[in-house]
Amino acid sequence: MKMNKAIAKSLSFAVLIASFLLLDYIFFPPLLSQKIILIALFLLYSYPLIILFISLKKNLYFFIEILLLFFLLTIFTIFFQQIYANWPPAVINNSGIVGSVQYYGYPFYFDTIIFFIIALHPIITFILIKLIEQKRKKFRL
Amino acid sequence: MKILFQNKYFDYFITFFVVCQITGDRLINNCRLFWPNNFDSINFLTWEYSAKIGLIPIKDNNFPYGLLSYFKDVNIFAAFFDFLFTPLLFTGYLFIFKKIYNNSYYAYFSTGALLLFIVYITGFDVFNRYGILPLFAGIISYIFYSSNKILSKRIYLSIGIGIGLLIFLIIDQAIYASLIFILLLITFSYVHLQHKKLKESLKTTSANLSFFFIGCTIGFLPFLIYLLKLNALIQFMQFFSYLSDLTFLAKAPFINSISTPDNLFLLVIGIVSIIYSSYIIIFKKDTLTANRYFLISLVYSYLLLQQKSIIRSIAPQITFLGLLLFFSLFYELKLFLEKQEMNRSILYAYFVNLVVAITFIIGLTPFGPAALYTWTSDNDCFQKNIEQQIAQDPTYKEVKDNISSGKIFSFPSSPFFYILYNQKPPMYLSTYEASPKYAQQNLIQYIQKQKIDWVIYDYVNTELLDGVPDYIRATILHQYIINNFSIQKAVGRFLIFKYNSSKKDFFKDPMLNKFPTLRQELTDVNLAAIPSSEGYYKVTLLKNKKPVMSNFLIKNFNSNLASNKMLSTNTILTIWIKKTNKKQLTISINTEDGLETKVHFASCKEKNPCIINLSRLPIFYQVRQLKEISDENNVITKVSLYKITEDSRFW
Repeated sequence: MKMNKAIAKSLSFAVLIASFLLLDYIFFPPLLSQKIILIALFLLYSYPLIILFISLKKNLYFFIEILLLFFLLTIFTIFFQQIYANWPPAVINNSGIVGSVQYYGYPFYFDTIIFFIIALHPIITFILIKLIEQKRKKFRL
Repeated sequence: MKILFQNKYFDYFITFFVVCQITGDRLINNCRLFWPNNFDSINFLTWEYSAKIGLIPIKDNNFPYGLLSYFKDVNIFAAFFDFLFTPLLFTGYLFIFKKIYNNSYYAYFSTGALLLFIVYITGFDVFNRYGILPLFAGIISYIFYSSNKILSKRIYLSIGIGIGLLIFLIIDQAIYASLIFILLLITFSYVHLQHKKLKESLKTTSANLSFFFIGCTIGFLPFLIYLLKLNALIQFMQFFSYLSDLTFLAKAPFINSISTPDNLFLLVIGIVSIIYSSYIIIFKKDTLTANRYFLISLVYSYLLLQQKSIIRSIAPQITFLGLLLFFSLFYELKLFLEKQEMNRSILYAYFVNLVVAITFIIGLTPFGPAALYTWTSDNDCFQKNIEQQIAQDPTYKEVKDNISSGKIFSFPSSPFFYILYNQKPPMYLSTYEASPKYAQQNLIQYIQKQKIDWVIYDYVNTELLDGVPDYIRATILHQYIINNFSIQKAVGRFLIFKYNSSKKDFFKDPMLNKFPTLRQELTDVNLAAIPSSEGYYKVTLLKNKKPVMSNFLIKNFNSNLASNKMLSTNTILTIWIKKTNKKQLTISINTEDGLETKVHFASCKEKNPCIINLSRLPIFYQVRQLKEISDENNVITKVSLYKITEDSRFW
């Protein structure tokens, strides 16, 4: 889908404004507060990405995936203490190693498992979406 | 000159030359002045000293970074090759960018941005180590892309040989490189998979993997011959086992550092890359471009290095990987925006904006080098390092003036003393690395074989890293020192211990009363979560054992103690507690000879006891008779004593 020429122009305009704000932030005493500049820069840099996202044919898949990601992050944040409390502590193995996690009882694989759930869930999500799509196609046929 | 400009490799020469200019000081300046009072820098200085006195890595010390890094300060060829590494890496990145992006300007912009980032943020030392993996991944992904399904067996063999050779130069990166290759082989076999030829495809993939492993074995042969010549093959196998134990001792909570700009940057860009590349593999595998192959290979590199960062944060060292992912993702965005007829200059301005913002605005941590490169005559270099360390901390010289002869051992760390005393350092330079039992035994053997006369004991900095008391990390070693050496005097933060052949009782030594902080440290012990962890995992070891003493009431238990003359040898104390809100508990243990120790520990759950091995407590380094145990929090429901063997699995 080709964008409206006006949108393409507005993207160029956004980049130009961002360039000036960036120069102002780095080289000159800021005309506006630094926080405002940073927020403005973030919005201006995100603008082409938003346009890209809206233009995608399968943006629904990404939308579902992003929702799921936020859902997982929210779950982990809310239930973090309960998950942490119920997770077994690090064991002192046969080598008798006492490091930070063994001393403080921090669960050894806690971080690794949570990270890989968050990092790898897109693969499972997209596989499920593809399987559902294929079943729908078969059903229609 | 015109011919030079028209040469198709001209841009590679320029890149190589420019990077040589930037890093030239590392070749011209032959002396590294290590930062004083920095744990890592002093370790590097000690390893450089070890190389100079002819010690061999793996056999004589546990230097984990490979032979190239070890010998670069003592061997001119290693130094020259180490210097060439950086320009070769950048030239390699330019080469792969040009192939993958199919657009010279984008490749030049990316290489320039990468150079800027490495200069200001990552540093060349770190890039020389971690930069190899993404470049290797990029080359492999391009080979898979350009071969379009079929790679000859010779290529698998060659790649295997390359990785095998890399093992002795840079060990950890070689292991990661082989993992990356296997992951990419499986992924791209899936991408090219045709459903009706599944069995054939699996057979081909397995055969290809076999050739790869044969190549690794062939490539490893020179190193194997080197190890056999030095009689260090067994030590190499032990070293590999130690590397896996290093994971357990180095692990620190990742959640605590997750909100740093470095980790946030890596997490955000990593997750975006994973989402996009998953989408591509699952829905668009027929439209895989060279850049998409590259992105997938970078995602694997990211997962491997991020997994290492989760063990112990190396986020400031691998943020450049986030930048490489950004290049790849931006290229996809660029292609889309070009189709929308967006002006190319604006696109490159957008790219430059984002690179500058990533490098200078978002707050990434610059990771400086471990040393400053400077010029001096070779003999002066070490002297300059010694003078710099002493200038920063004059206590080193004061200790040297107090111990004029004899051999020394430094506890828990301060390996600088071995340089000062011109003495061969031990295998492990600090208690942090020497937590495994076999490592502590190794240090005890060092003390015995070297006939150490003096122990230099830092009694002020009692927690080297992560807030873990050093005598808890290395109780066996600490026990040996306390039982065999006596306090002579204090010099600044160090106590000088002398070898005590009569094995005087450390806690009865009047000298200890002059150092109340040390006495307090050793008799007021915080075991944190160790007793509850021991109870959780090892209570099953007690199921078939009968306690030598057990009671539900502390009062009755103490009466039994008095009448039974219970000795502390090979004894574990098991405590069950009632439900309580208290997070930390305290007990006191009194001995018949008038000593008392307080033990603090994290509360354990009702269904599992807390288990304390008495011989891990400093006052029980020597055998003593137990007199009384006090329950300071009034929560104990049952207390028992068990006898265990010397080689028991209890801590």
